[in-house]
Amino acid sequence: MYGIVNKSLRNMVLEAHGDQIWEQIFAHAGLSSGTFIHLNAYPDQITFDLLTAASDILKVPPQTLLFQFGRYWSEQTLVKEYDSFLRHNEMDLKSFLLNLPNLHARIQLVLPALEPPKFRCSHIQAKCLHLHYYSEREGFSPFVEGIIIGLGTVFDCQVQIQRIQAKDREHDHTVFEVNWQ
Amino acid sequence: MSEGFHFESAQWNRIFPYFLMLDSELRILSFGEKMPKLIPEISTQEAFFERFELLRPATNQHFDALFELQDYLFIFQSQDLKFRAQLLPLEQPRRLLLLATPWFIDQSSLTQAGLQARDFPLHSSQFDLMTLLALQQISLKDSVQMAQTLEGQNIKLQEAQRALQRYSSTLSALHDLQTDSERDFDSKIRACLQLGLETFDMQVATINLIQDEQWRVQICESRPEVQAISLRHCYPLQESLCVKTIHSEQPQAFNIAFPAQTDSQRPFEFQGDSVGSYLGVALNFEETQGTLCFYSRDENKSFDDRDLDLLTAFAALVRYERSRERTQAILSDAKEVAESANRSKSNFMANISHDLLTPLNAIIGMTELLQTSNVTPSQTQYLDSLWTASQTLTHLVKNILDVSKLEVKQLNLAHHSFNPLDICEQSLQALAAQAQAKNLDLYCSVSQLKPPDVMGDPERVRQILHNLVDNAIKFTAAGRVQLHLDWQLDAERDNCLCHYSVIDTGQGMDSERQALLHEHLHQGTEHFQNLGHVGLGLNIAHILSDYMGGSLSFQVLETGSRFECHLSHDLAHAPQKKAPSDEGSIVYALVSEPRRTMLQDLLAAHSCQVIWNPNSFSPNVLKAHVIIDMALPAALRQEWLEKSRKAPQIESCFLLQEPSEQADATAYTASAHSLQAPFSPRQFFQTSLRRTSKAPANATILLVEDNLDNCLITTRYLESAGYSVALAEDGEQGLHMALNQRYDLILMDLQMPHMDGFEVTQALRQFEQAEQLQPVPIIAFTAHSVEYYKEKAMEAGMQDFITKPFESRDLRRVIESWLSLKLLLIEEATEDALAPELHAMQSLDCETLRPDEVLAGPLQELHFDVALVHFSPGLSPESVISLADQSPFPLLAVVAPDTNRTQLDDLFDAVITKPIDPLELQAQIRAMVFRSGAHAPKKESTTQSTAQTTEAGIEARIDEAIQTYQVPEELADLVPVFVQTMRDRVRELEQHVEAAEWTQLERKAHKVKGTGSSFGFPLVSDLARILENTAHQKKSLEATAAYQDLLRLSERIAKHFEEIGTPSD
Repeated sequence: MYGIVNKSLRNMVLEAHGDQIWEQIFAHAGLSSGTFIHLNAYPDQITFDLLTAASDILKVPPQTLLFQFGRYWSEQTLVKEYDSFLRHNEMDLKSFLLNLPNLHARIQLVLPALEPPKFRCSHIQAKCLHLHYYSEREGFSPFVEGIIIGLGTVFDCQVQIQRIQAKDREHDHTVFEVNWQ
Repeated sequence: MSEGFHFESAQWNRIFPYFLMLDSELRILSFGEKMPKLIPEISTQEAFFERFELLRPATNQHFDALFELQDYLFIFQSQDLKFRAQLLPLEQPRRLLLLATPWFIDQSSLTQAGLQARDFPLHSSQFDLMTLLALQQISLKDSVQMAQTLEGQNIKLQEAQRALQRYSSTLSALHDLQTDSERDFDSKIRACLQLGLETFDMQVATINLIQDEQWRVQICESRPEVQAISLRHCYPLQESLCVKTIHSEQPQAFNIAFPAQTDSQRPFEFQGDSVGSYLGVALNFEETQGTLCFYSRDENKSFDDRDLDLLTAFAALVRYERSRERTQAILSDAKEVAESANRSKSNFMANISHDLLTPLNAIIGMTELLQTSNVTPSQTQYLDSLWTASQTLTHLVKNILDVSKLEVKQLNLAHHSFNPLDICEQSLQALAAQAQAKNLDLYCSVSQLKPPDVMGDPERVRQILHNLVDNAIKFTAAGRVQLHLDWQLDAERDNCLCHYSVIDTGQGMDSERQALLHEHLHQGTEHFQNLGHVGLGLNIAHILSDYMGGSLSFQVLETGSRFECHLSHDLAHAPQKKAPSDEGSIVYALVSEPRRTMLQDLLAAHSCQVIWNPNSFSPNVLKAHVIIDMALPAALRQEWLEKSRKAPQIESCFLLQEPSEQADATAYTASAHSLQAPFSPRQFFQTSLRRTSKAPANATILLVEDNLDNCLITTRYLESAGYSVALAEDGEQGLHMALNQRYDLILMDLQMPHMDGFEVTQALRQFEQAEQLQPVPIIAFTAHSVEYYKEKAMEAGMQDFITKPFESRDLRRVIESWLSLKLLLIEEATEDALAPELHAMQSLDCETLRPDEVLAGPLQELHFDVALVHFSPGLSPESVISLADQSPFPLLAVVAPDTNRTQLDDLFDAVITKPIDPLELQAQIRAMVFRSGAHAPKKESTTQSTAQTTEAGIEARIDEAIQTYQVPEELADLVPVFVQTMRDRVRELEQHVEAAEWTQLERKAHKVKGTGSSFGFPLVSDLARILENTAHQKKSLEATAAYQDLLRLSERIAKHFEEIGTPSD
């Protein structure tokens, strides 16, 4: 993953728990350098190790931590680092969600080292749609759920998300039903 | 639209939402559906160039011109909105299609223009480009942030480094200050305060005392800008700035905001300003309280934790120095008291010891006299005990006297030439009685037979060895005590490192004693008083060896112990050529098993082949020696004695007497050498070269002594030895008697009322000189063993020195050395040999050797007063020259009456003619012995005036010498040898002249001098003498000039003989 992910995770921990906890997590993960460059690609394992260590140190279940991280990603990282994306895109959640597949396609174009997830929208209604989530990385569904919930904060609306299809032997992707008011 | 493609308007607009179609008049025919979102007022039929400005390419604004530019990228703008476009020229009708798209390089401009992602066709990379640019902006922002972070960290790091450097350098400076032994307390404290001013950037530093709730500046240092400092003014503590500091364990630092301070809070004036900043720490001395403070008028100064840490370090230094100063003062007082007491004690001990020696001498003397009188066996036993106890007491008193001298640094070391093996033998000799009393074998051994003569204080070396051997005897119940001498030569540095080892078979030492001894031998020798329990003698040996730059060590052996003294000496002269070896000699050793080790030690340096306890003498051995241990059963030793006497191949027989045995070996056989303890390697095989004292002549000795007890004892000693004694009870009487009668020898006490021994000697010497009388040997006689007295006695004209108390054998030994003259007769065994005549003279202790025997070994090894060379027809001239060159003692020539003596005068110290008058010979020998003393003037045949000879004069003299040269008849055959030898020797001198090697130059010039006149060239001797003298005086220029003269002469002589042929040709 790109350094922005690890940086975002660090910022989340720092803001909530301070330097010492982050140092503990960092040491627990067995990493030698705590500096991440925004658009530098790092092995996914680093991110996994950090998340696992954070889960251990903060005594938060991994799924919960991923969900919190998803929310932080939307509410903090997206707003602070990618504000321009939000502003010149559609200014409502639906437009944002509909543009999500193209957004990740464009990201794939400009960040070739990144393997961003794929999205597809279906059952599009005025206040509801199905979001299809395809990813090679396992276990990141709570992160997506956190992101969608966080987008509700960004676009100032009440969002509900429900996993209506899990990725398993029969299904190659996860499907969320997203409702908003 | 191209053929084959057809787009509906909606499709076309979805693909190219910002196209422009222009007619041939360059009017806008149509435009994309998104264009009005950007330019709401755009309309058809309006002129393109009225709406837009064409930025690129450069062209005329005509349709035809534009029509040709389909390969150009078009850029045009309306207001600030730029478009990029591709031109498609269309025919029939002729039109221009501009496939345009708005151009944004950042997303904020896009947002500002009201466009969104969906306003661009999906095939356009415009939005992706902006995404990429946006990400790059983020990345750039990230990099900037990182750079700022790094910069910030770098600044912090630099600040930390500066702080650390300041901290480190201050601590280092404090450490240097603390370890600076040159500074006194006050200087250190002031330097400390100055360092603090610099470190904390403050203006005033003070050390303040707090007493009775009063605050007072004790020491103050300040920057120059501080004008007035109130020193020693008292202020109430409660009003001072230190009120909080004194009650806190932590340093205090604060700024003082209020402008109006009380006097007590403003002890300093900063050009009218108040104290603005304060830095202080409490100083807790043992009995008083104080503070260390720094002040500045800057009220905005800030201090960090590091400043406070440093202030603590400053306070620690002040406390440490204060404490050390007080401790030093206490120690200094205590040391002065102790040294004063020690000096008093040492002086007292020295005086007491000296006073004890005189009556002790009487006790020992009387005891010895009583022992020779008719006493009962039990009385003999009592007297023996008394004698032994007196000896022990004398030894102890002498040791105490030495300790006292050492403690008050009064022990002066002599610097004489001596032979280490002589000292070893003498040390053992003095302890022979003790070893004998315990039935111990006492002997010395060497690694090589001929130790070199060295320079040093032989008496002190002897004292060390005496104490070590004495100690070994004391702790050895049975067996043997060995004194082993080993040495290493460092010829380049003219140095000899001697190792004296005393090895015993005693009880050894338990671990506690070992540890104690080890500790004492490895600590300094200044704390002598603490070493008493390891033996006074051993302590003195330790101190003396240390005093002489040596060392003492010990080792516990399986049986007994080993003490080693290592002393470094200068060589007395260049190492001698190797002594003739007795390698290959066959020795039959018949020894008891317990003494075999000892004999092995004794023979180790001889390199002979030892056959231990043989059954018989081998008939194949043509020449051998026999050593018979007298500890063997009587029948056995008697049997071997008989065998030895009868065996023709047995050259000599040595009887190794038992420790307790006194009997003379002559009781067994006249041909055997009886060897008594202490044994020495030198007793074997070469006894014929060792001088032995004969009975003294019937000489008359004048004893000048004011102590009646000593008079009585000494007189008895001398009379019992066969001397006639005349007694003078004081110096004046002694001089009167010496002026009116000639004595053979005078024993002179040094300290006497009215006229002391020095004055008597000087007066007598003046008289003898005036009357041209032969000087009488005078031996100083005193209880002062200090080197100073010896030197003073020699300066006064005395020849030797005996320290009281003495034993009879010491006295005899010294007197015999002056009265019983040791003469070495060198002659060929011819019919007119002088040996029978000289051996018959009672006053001479004469040994006879052939010239080749003498020259076979180093002459320095032989100890004679005078060597007499008998010129007989069999004596070769080469031998004469070699003897003259090498002889360490005076040479006397005995020649036939008709011999031309002029050539011999420079080779020999004296020449007498046959027949020999015993009295004349004796007088001559005594005169020679006397002259050879250190203070006697050397015989010179010509005056020094030749040294001033000019170069022209030299040339004239060389010419004259060569022209008038006459070959001495008796030496004619030797002249070629002489000429060649002389030239070689003179050439050899050059290197010593150039290298300023004065000793070698003097010695070799002396050799050249000795031969010149003998061969008819007195000028050679004259010039060599000048060179010798200039070398002695180390005058470089004069020596070079003298050498050039001598070289010129020797080369001229050599050339002369080459031209004319040698006389023998």
